[in-house]
Amino acid sequence: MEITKLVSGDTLTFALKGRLDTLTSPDLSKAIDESVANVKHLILDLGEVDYVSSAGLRVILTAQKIMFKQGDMIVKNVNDEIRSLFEMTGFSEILTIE
Amino acid sequence: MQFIDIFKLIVASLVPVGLTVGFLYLNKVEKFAKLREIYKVFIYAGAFGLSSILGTILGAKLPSGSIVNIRDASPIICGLIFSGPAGIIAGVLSGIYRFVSVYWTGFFASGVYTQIACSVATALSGVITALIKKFLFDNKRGTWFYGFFIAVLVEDFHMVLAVLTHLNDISVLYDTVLKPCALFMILANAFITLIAMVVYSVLSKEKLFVFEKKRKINTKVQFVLINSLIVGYLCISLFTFGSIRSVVRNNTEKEATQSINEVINDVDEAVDKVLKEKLESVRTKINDIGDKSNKTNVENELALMLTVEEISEINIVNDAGFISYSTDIYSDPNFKDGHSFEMSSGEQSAAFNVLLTGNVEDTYIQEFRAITAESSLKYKYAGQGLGISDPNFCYVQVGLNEEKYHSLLQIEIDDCAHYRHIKKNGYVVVADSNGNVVSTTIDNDLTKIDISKINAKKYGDFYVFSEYAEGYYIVAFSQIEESDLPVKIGFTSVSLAEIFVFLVLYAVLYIIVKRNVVDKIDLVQVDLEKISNGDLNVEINERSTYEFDSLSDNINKTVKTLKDNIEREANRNKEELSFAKSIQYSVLPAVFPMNDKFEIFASMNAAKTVGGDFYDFYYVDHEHVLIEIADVSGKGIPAAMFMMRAKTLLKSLIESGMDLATAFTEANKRLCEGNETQTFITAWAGIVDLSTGHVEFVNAGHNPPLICKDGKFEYLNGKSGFVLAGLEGFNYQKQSVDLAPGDMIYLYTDGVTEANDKNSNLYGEERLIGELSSNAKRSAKRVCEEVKENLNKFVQDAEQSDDITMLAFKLYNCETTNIKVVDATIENLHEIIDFVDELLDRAGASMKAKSQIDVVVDELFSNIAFYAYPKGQVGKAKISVGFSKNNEDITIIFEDRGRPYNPLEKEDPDTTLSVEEKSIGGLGIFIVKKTMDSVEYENVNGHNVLTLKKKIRE
Repeated sequence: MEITKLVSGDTLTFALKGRLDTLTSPDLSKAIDESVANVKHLILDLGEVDYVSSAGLRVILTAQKIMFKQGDMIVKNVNDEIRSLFEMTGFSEILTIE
Repeated sequence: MQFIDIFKLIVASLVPVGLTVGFLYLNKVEKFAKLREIYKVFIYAGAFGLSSILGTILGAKLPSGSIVNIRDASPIICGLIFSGPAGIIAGVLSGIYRFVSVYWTGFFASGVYTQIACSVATALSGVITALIKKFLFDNKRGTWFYGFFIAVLVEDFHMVLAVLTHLNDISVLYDTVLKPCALFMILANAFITLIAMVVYSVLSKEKLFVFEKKRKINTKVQFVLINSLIVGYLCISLFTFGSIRSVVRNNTEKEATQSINEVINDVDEAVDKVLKEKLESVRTKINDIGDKSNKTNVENELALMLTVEEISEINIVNDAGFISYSTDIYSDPNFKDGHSFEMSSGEQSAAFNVLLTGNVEDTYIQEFRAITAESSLKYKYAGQGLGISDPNFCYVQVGLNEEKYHSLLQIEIDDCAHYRHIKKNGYVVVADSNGNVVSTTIDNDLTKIDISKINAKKYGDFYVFSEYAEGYYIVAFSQIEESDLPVKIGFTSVSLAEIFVFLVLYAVLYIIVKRNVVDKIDLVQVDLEKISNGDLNVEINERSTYEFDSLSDNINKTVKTLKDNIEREANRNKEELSFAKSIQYSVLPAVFPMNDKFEIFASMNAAKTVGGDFYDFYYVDHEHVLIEIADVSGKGIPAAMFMMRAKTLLKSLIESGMDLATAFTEANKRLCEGNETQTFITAWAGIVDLSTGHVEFVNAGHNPPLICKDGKFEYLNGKSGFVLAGLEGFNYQKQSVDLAPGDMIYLYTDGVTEANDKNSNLYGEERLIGELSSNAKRSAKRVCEEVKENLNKFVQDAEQSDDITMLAFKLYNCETTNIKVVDATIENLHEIIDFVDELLDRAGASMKAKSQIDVVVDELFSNIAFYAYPKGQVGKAKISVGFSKNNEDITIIFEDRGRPYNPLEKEDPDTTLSVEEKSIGGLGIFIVKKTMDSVEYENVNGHNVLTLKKKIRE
C-alpha cells in the first residue's frame, strides 16, 4: 500500500493506494501515530484503495477515536464496495464520509 | 593209510570249497543272478548234493577197516552260504544215496554197519543247518566260526546216532568207528565248512573279525552262553569221566578179588584134602604100632613114618594135653628138664587141644604159619583124634615145613588157576613166596613173578591185585587197556551226547533269549523310533513278560503325558494366536472407499502363525489420501503389538500435519526407543494428491509396489530407506510419482510373492505381474480378488507360512482444483490474495465480488496465521479454490491443522455502538459471514475446514 501524507496547516491528509488489509494496516497505523499530534482535521482519502479488511477498519476506528478528542476526521472518495462494508459494519454511523 | 586214501579225502574236501567259490562268481554273472530263486535252489541243491555223494564215494579206508567220509560238509555249506532249502535237498539226496549204496557192491558200495546213523545224519544235516540259519541267524549267513560249530553239531549228531543204533555192541562200535573215525570226521567236516566260509568271506571282501564297540545283547548272550556251556561241558565231562572210571575200576577190582577168592578156596580145598589124607595115613600107621607101651618102639615107628610119609614132624599128645611122643627134638618130653611140652603153653599149639576128645572124626587143620617156638619158621600143622583108649595116645599132630608142604600140595594146586581169567586178556597167578608160579591161567606162560611188585597198583601193562593164603600169593592181573575200555567207550559216547545236548541247549537258550528279550527290545525300539520321530499316537503293546508289560505301560504313560502337555501347550498357543490375529484385524480399516475419483481395496490373510502385516489408508485432508502397507518382523503377539504401535504412531504423526518423510523419521526414532526385541518394520507409504494425481512416497525397506500406467504394471523402484525401528537417527527421503486417471498402485507384502506350493515353489514376481496385467483394466477390488484367487490356486493345500497382504489404489478422475498451501504466516497473505485474485480475474468475477472475496481471504488467512498454531510454530494453511460450471460460483476452502476452532460459533459484534464503545473483535468473521453466500465449518480428521461459497457475477 502506498501512503501519501499531505500536511496543510492543522489539516493532515493521507492519500491511500492499494489494499488496506491485515498486512498493510500497521503501516497506516504507524504513520498516523507519528503525525497525528496537533492535527485538527484528519482526512483519509480512500479513492485508490482496493479494499479494506477488518484490520483496516481497526486502524480507521483508532484514528477516529483519537480525532474525536482533538478535532475531526473525514473519510472521502469511498467507493461502493467500501461504502457497503462501512454500512455493514456500522462504520458509516460513526465516520464522516464525504 | 595209503596215499590213494589221502588223495580221495583231499578231493572230497576240495569239491565243496570249489563249488562255493564257483557259485560266488556265478552270482556275479547277470544271467545267473537274474534266475528265479526256485531254479537257483535246485541248482545249488544238485551241485552240493552231488558233492556230498562224492564224499561218500571217496571215503578213505582206515587200518581198522572203517571208512571215513567228508559227506556232511556240503549240505551245511550249501545251506549256510547259499540257500537253506537247497541245503535240505542236498542233504536228503546224499542221505538217500548213503542208505541205498549199502546194497550195492564194488566202487559205489558203502558200509552197512553205520548205515542208519550215516544216512539219517546226512539227510538231516541240511535241515539242522536251515533251522539254525532261520531261528538263530535271522536267515543270514552267520560267521565262519558258527559254520564250524554247526558242522561239529551235525557230525556229533551223526556219532550220537551211531551210538544209539549200536547200544548192544557199543564196544565194537567204539573199536571200529568211534575210536578211529569220530574225532577225524567231526573235525574234517567242521574245518572244511569253516574253510569254505572263510574263503567266501575273503573273496566277498568281508571282514573276518568284526569288533563291535558296544556289543549287542545277542552277541553278549552268545558269548556268555558259549562260555558257560563250555565250562558246563568240561565240568560234566570231568565228573562223568571220574565217575565212570571209578565204577569201572571198582568192577575190575571186584572181578579180580572174586577170582582170587575162588582160587584161595581151591587152594584151601586142596590143602584140606591132602592133609586129611596124610593124617588118615599117619593115624592108621600109629594104630598099627604093636607095643604102644614100649617107648623106643613107638619112637622108632614114628621116625620111620616121618620118612615114608614125607612129613617134617609127628607129635602124639596125651589126654592131659602134653606131648607124649614126638619126632621133633624140641618136642621131646625129656628135652626140657624132664617136662614134656604142654600144648596149651603156646597160642599156635593150644589150638590143637580141641582134639583132646580123642575122637577119630575130629580133625584140625591149622593154617600155614609161624610156629610158637620159632617165629621165623613157618609150618603147616594138622591133627586128628587117635580113638585109642591109651591115655598117652589122645591125638596126633603132624607138621610140614615149607618145602615139604609145597611139594605135598604141588599136584593138587597145579590146576587151581588154570581156568581163571580176568576179562579176556587178564589172568590169575598162584605163586610161592619166592615168586615161582605154581599155577596160572592155562594159556599164560608166566613162570616167575616179582613178589615185591604185586602190592603196587600196576604191574607192567596190568592192574594187579593179590592175596596171600596158605603160603601162596594169589595174584590177579587185569590188562589196563582192556579194563579201562568201558571208561573210554562211556566217556566217548557221553561226550558225544553232551556236545549234542549242549549245542542244542545253546541254540534253544539263544532262541529263548532272542525271542523273549532281543526281538522284543527291537520291536519296542522300532516303536520308540516312530515316537521320537513325532508320531505320538504309537502305542507300545509288548505284553509277553512282566518286564515288557510294565515297560510298555511306562512308555505309553510317558508318551501320553508328553502328548497331553503338547496338546495343552498347542491350545494355549492357539488362543494366543487367535488373540494376536484379532488385534491385527481390529486395527485395519475395513470400509473401502470407492467414488468417482478413486478406489481403494485391501486385504490381509493372516497366517496360522500370525505375522505383523498391516495396511492403512485414510484422508490426510480433503484432497489427500494416504495409502500404506507394512510388515513387522517376527510373529505372534509381540509382532501384533508392535504393528499396532507402529500403525498408530505413523498415523498420528502424519495427521499432525507432518511431512511424510519427517513422519517416518520421527516414527523411526520413537520406535527405536526401547525396542529391545529387535523387531523392525518394513513399510511403504504414499500420499496421493487427489486433485493432481501426484504421489509423494517414502519407502522404509519395503518391497517396492507395482504401479500400473497405461495398462502395464511395473515396479515403482526408487531409493529405499532403512527399515523402521532398525537404526536410530535415520533420515527418510521423500520421492514422488504422478498418476493419471486409470492408473493404479498395487502394494503388497512378501507373503504374496513368497507363498509356496507343496513342492516349495514360490509364487514369485513374474506370476504376480502377469496376473495383475491381465486384470489391469479392472477395479481395485477386482484386481485384489483375482490375485488372491490365482494365488490360492497356485498354493492349493500347502500351509500358509506368512501373512498375505495387499492394497490397491486406483485413480479414476482428478479434478483441476486450484490449491495453494503456504506457511501460515501473515507475510504470505498477499501471495494468497494474488492467487485468488488471478483466479477471480480469469473467471471474470465482478469487481465487487473480487473486492469482497479479497477481504474474506484476508480475514480468514490472517486468523489462521495469528491464532491457529501455537506461538513460535509455523503450520500450514491451505486454500483451495474451485469454480462451478460457467464460473458462476466460487468455492473457497480454508484448511489448517491448528487447534480446532469453529469461527461461526463466535457471536456477531454490535454494529450500532458509538465510536467510544466500538471494538474490532469478531468483526472479521462478521464480514465473512455477511459477504459470502454460504460459510460452513467442518473438522475433518482434526483439520479445520472452512468452506465458503459465493456468486461471483452480477
